[in-house]
Amino acid sequence: MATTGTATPVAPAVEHDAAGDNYLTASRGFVSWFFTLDHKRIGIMYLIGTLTAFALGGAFAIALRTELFHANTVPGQSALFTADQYNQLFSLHGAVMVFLFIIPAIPAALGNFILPIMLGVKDVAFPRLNLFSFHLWVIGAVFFLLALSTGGLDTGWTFYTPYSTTASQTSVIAATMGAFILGFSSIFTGLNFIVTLHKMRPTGMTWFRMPLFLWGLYATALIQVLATPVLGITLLMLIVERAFHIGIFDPSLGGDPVLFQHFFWFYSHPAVYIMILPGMAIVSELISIHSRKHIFGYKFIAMSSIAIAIFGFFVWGHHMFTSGQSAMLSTIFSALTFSVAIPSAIKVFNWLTTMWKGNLQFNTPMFYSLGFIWLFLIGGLTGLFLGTLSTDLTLHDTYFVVAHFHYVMVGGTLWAFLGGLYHWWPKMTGKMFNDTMGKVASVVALIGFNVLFFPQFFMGSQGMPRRYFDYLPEWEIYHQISTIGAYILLTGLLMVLWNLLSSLGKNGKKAPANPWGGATLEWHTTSPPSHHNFEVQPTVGDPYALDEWTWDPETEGYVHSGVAPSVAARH
Amino acid sequence: MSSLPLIAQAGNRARNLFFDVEGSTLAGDIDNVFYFILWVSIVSFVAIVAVTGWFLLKYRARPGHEAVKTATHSTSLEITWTVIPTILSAAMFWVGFEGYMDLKQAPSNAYEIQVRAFQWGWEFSYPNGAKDTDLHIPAETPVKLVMTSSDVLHSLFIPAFRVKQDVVPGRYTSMWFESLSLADLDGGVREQARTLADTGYVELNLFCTEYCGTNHSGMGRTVYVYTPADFEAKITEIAKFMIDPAIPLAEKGARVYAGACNSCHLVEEDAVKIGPSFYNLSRSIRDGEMIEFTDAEDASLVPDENYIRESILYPGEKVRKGYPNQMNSFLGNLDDRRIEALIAYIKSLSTAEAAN
Repeated sequence: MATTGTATPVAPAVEHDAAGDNYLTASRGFVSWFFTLDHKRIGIMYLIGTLTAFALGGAFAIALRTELFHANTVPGQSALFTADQYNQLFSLHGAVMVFLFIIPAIPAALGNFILPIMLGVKDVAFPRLNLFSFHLWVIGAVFFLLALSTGGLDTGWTFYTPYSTTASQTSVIAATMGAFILGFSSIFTGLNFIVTLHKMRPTGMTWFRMPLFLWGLYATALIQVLATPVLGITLLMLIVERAFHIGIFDPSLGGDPVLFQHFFWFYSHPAVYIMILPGMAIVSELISIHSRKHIFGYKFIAMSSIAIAIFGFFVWGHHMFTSGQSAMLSTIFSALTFSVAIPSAIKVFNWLTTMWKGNLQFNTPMFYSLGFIWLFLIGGLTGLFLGTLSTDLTLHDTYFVVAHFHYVMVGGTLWAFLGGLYHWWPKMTGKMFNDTMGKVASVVALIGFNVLFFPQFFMGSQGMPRRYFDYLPEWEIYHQISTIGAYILLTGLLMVLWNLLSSLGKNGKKAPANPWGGATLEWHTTSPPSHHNFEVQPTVGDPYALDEWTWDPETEGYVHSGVAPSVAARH
Repeated sequence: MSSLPLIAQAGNRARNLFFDVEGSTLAGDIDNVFYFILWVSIVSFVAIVAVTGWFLLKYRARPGHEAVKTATHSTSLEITWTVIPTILSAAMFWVGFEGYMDLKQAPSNAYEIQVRAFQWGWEFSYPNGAKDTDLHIPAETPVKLVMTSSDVLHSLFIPAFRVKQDVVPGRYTSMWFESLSLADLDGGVREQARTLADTGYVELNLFCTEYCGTNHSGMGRTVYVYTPADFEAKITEIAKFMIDPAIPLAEKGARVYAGACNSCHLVEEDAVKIGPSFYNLSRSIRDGEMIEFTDAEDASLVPDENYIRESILYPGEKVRKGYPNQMNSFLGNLDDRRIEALIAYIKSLSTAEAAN
């Protein structure tokens, strides 16, 4: 890729080894990518991998929504799939989306790429471990494909016992091995980030001068390292029971099925925060930069991430109010659950105050940030109905829950992920996307998402249970609206894909070093960065001192107006 | 607080946007908690969206407009928006806790019904020995269900009563409710239910809400709510049904079929839901046709009474070719009298037609 213009006297340091050399062109060939130690290339490979998994999980979702368009009032008729096939569709949709997409998407793809550059360093603390994490992700994905091709998976992504250990006829062991291996991939990424953030912050970057994205990744990494081992142990016990009939969870072997739920949610509830905390962290960056305002309440946002990570460990029992656990336990878990609501609310209020008196840019990343706030708000508020004991007993395991967690996971995490992807796309690829089309796609997706999931709150409260292949005719209209929404959302997401991919072609506009005027360190280097990220060590300042950057119409990017000898000043 | 506007008309039944009919003594309290949280949520959502909308209008980037530097921190603001949500969520926790305690404490005089869940159906047993696969209950009487499962996890959910409890193998769980009067129950969410005026009872939905395999969604049954007097008569009729000499064995078997078998087996020719058609089985018995198996000592045989009995009690012994080995044993669920009735019913499926 060629340089974006002529070097100016302001930035002589930009001259590096070969003209136009960057991390994408530094070396060529499959091996130079698949066995690279460069965090940027690993991030890009994670991006391609997780997006492929997203497409696969999305195909399952479209298939099952299509099946649900009609109630099968006559068994076997008007059905596209059999009951068994349907059960596999929702199980694989959940398992693929959770383990292969949402958990790794933001930390391992965007985080891997951005974290070291935000710190102004060459790489993460353990580049080989980082590559190993990715290879484990690939092996985990292969196990999922193996399960898919050798009998599928029909246990739901939750693998509840004793169904998963004794009744299911599908490839439960292959799928759980996949999840087990993916768990290690996640642990190693978390470990790498923790060590990197502790030991490699540059001079001047104290904990409270760290960009909020890094605070979010730090909180996430803590959960990954502390909670994921419990998933590993649980899945191994499941495998042992299924393969060798050693009674742990199955009562007919002397086990306890509710014990599995405790173990499973001890990981999987904190895992919800592995999914949403990085999303909140992205939005904290995006809202500030695209409002052209210093972030408001920095410390509260940072500490609320840590608070969510800690509280998240003590609320798992709220998935089990109907399980048969004691009323005392349910009461304690309900009370603790509300504690998580508060740091989330604090974040939203701080984002709004950041926007106040700003200069709000109507660009694609901002559209996704606003979409995130609105959708996450609905996801969070509907969580209150489920944390409340008496209302949860009626809403539990209905479509109300399905709608609630999709508002959090898709409306929250996916929207933040896409916002972050658009935001850092120029940095990652060196190309600018078509902003108008990006905004249109985001609005189409927003409409599709709401048409898809909002009706589910109504039918859920009326009693429509989740994981149902067939349903009573009174809910057909809601299901039909929902399915139409799924196709609108699909259209929006395909537009996003086209929008991003078409920017990579020859006609794609070259990106300036700092298209948005961000002040964090990744905007101090070229787009895309060189193999070593920086030619000169950038000076650390306030990550939200946006007014030090001014718009330069010539390069269509922002340039530093201060005295810092930054490479970003190049034209 | 009343429910939100009506959006759909199904026949002459008005349907609420949220919830099935308010059917139990505690449903009203639970709905009030729901609407309290709903209004807090609506006000918060509208306020926040309005503020973002206003900011988008007022502070949108445009020529001549610039961001104004404001304070980047305010402890008093942070405390305010920490304390207000804390108070609101504490209130939500408390009202939810109170409602939950009511749901968890069954009155000591509650009428007890034993429930056994299995893949894929329910067996409700009454103190007088009556057993049925739908739930029959008296209105305006506290009823307690004591539940267990024969195989995997299930969960019993009656939306009109706002109650749900997992049914766990190897242990007993329970739940209770007290239905309102029949007049109060009429007009629920259920589209195909007959009306109270036609039948003298009310039909409500009952679902399984813990995923339990292939036919999870086929475990939906009906809750029949009667006046206490009609209820007594009904369960007496059910209890006597199996021993009433005036009722032909095949007719008794038809009732056993409806409860235990029809979530997987159909009685029409060549009709397949999960397991093989009972009509075809009946015809094979009548005509002496061989049926084929996988994984059995004998690859095929002409079915008879012994084959049916074995298949009910030890379904894994002979698995029909082309069908999954998925059936669970009914050992302990179906007694000899019921098995005999069922055999008579299956045989009657093709012979009755031949007699015509």
